[in-house]
Amino acid sequence: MPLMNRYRVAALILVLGGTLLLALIGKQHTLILANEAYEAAGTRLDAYETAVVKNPNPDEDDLEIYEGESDSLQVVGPFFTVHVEIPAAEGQGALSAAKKLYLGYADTITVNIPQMMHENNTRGE
Amino acid sequence: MSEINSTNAPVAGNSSEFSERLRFFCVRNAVPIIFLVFSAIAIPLSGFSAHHLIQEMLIRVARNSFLVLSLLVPIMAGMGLNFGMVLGAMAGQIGLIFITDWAIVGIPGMIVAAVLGTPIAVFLGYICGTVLNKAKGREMVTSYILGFFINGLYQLVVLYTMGNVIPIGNPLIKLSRGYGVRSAVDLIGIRGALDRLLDVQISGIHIPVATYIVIAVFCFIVVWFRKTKLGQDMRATGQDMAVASSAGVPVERTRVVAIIISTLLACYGQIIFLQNIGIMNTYNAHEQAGMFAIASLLVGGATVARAKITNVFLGVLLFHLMFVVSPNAGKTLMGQAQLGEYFRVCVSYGIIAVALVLHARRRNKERERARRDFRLERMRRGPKCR
Repeated sequence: MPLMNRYRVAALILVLGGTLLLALIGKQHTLILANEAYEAAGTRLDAYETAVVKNPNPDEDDLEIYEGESDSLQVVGPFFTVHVEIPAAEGQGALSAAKKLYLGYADTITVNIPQMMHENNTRGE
Repeated sequence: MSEINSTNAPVAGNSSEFSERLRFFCVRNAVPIIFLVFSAIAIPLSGFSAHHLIQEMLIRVARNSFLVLSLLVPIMAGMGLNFGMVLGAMAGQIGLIFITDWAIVGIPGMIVAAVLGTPIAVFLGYICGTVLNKAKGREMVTSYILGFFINGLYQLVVLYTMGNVIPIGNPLIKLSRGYGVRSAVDLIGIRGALDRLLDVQISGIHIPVATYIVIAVFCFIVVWFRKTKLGQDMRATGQDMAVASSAGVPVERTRVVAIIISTLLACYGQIIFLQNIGIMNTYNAHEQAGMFAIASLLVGGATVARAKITNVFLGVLLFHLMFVVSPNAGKTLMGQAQLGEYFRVCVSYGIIAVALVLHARRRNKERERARRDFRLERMRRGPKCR
């Protein structure tokens, strides 16, 4: 292949690769946070009375998700860290957890809060 | 930026040199002078403050300059005003529809839209350039009609194939019947993305510095391009196709490349335009892009055969100044804002018609002068010299 054609092919690959990367960086995702009971492998995890999710937008309030409800966040970029706090309740101290998510090119990602808290606690043990 | 064709400049060293120069200046810049006079009358009548006008002009110049700059390349190649730039605008809009569907936001979204629109703009520009090569001497009207034809194809694609053949997942941009794109698409993801990237505030006036940097870089590219081999080929083609062809310039290919470049730049210009507006009228946004850009360039003192970067900015400023002040000036004068708008349309496009007629008249006079000079030369040489 002549040298000029090789440069052209390389430039084309660079542009296409750069476009895919920019699409990944600029992709907006809907993160659904569900405070619902979770069952898997014979284990049942109950929903929390209240779960507070930190809002990445400093101009907006944090999300308060009550038992059995869901809420959503609009986030941009391939990575996002979800910060959840469970306020102290009867017989239970305050809990907090953070989970880094790889969002990729997905439009919607669902995070179950009880499952996330369980994974975080299990990892800590 | 130097002019492509200079005509009949006054000779220095004459006692009436000043009046001659003034007459020459006024004749050559008649259109911007008339617009300046109208603006000078309309601005106080409109009642707008200087702060408001300066802010509006800064936004409008940033929004529209790139589209108008895309017209310089075909003029350089002697193809007149490229009404076919609307094809590039359509390509840009298709890119924006896709990034809105895929929810790619911000500057990355704008760049992805530009990359998606690029092959479409290159293809449409190639078609336009090839057709214009078959219609030498009638490029402007041919590109105008070609724009209508491609507009029909665009509407067919967007209204019927999108959501049908071309998958569109976002229900917010699809029509309720399940296919076809809505007539208004909210570009909330990229709204102000470039303008707000580097927003400087001086005395309460917002200046979209990033947009102006992009425009400035493009202006430098245009100046550099004129010095390249391709740029020189275009200038040679624009001055005389026969002579350029004899000199080994691939005239037909050069003309096609000029139109492709113009269409591509119109694609990017339309993306910059729509990110400022924030909402895309899917079926109408591109229609006025060509007309307003060409009107702006002519108002800036450019002609069909000659255009400079200063014509672009002066034209955008004057044309859009009339846009802003005319309705209120009309309301003050005649009691109805709509009359002011009609007045603006009448004056703006009337002056453009005069500019085009003057250009045709000037061209005919030059041809006549060339024929007369040729006949005189033959008579002077006598029958022996053939």
